[in-house]
Amino acid sequence: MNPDPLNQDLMKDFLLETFPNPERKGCLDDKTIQALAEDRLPADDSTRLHVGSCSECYAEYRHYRLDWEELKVGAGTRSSARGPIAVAPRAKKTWRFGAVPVAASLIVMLSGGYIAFRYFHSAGVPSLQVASAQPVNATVDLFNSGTLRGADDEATPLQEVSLPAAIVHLSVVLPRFSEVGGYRVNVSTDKTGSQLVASGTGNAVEGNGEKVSVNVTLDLRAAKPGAYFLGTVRGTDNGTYYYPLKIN
Amino acid sequence: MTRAQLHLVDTSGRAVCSEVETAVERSFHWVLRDFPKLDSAMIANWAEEVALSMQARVTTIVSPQRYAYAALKGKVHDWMRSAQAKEDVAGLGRDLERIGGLNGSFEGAVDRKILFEQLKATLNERDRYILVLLLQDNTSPATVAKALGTSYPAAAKAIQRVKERIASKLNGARKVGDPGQGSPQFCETKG
Repeated sequence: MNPDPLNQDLMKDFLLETFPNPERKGCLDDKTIQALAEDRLPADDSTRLHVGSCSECYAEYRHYRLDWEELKVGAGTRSSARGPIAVAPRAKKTWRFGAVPVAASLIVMLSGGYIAFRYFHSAGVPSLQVASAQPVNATVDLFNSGTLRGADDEATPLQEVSLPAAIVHLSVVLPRFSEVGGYRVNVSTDKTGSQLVASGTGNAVEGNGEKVSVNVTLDLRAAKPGAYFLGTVRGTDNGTYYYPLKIN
Repeated sequence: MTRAQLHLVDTSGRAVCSEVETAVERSFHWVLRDFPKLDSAMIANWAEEVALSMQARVTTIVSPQRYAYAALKGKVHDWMRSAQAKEDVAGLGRDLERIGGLNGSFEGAVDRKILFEQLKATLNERDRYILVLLLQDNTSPATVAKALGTSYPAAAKAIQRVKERIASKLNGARKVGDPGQGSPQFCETKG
């Protein structure tokens, strides 16, 4: 037998053409398809089978998947799977030899600046670590996160969140159009959420205006200062979104 | 490379809301990917039209992303249908249609339809999902096992079965776009 009997283009067309469902009956919602394409749905979620039986959902799934893969390849260490959208396909970057020393110089300068910044600012707020045994109230506003992604991914990176290494009573204002209901808020060292540092659950409710927020308590005392991911996991479908987080 | 920028404004010339903007820009990117041979400027023009109409009825649109993608793809299909329906002219127009991927072969379309129907009858829902995974280069049984919640040997067997079923249909079907080679199904004489 031919080791690769799949005529990939033909099979893709088969899935795209053979199961038309223009009225979208029984279809998954956008966010679930995106979560599936980005490997964020649990393994036992049987809804995933639907994409093989609905041409419209397969088309969306395929694009979300390709977007995600482009993002991973193009951005490399980009801090979020929900990063900005590239309007046009990314071009491969070509580096000239002259760019290497410039980049090295920039890294040295930025590192120096960061060390100086940390030194002066850490001297000014010593009470943050000392007071870590006391619960700290913090608010993270993600209301506009993810809705301005079409502008320019280089100019508008995702909002970075900062939290102290303490017990934090955290109020998260969820992104625009978030649904109310149960949510889990994770702090992890990786985007898959497999290396959890802290986790809390809460019920998201609609507050003033159209903003939906969820309150959780996170114990971040054991977390070392550094870069983490703050993840929000919707209880109804495990739709997960990550934001870069810095623990001070 | 500079990014293709869309000028997404409403009827008053004001920028459309961010949800519409995001949905239309993403859909523009998707349609460019779907139809790589079409003129991107033409698609951009349609995308701007879609954004304009979406902004006018933004409150009634449940899923802006889904709406934008369907509308933009619909415009492309409309254009392809109308372009294909035009009187055939020798020279530039015909060449452009060929370059643009328009294929007027009726036989090819019928064969393709028959093949797809056969595949549809052959592959069950689970098989089709395995096919989805195979098409995104998840050929590892471990990946398929994880996605389907089965064991590694069961996933490996399932992959093999799907490949065999597809191969049996592809090997027996007429090659699409090759009208000279008749499909065995059509040439068989009974009795």
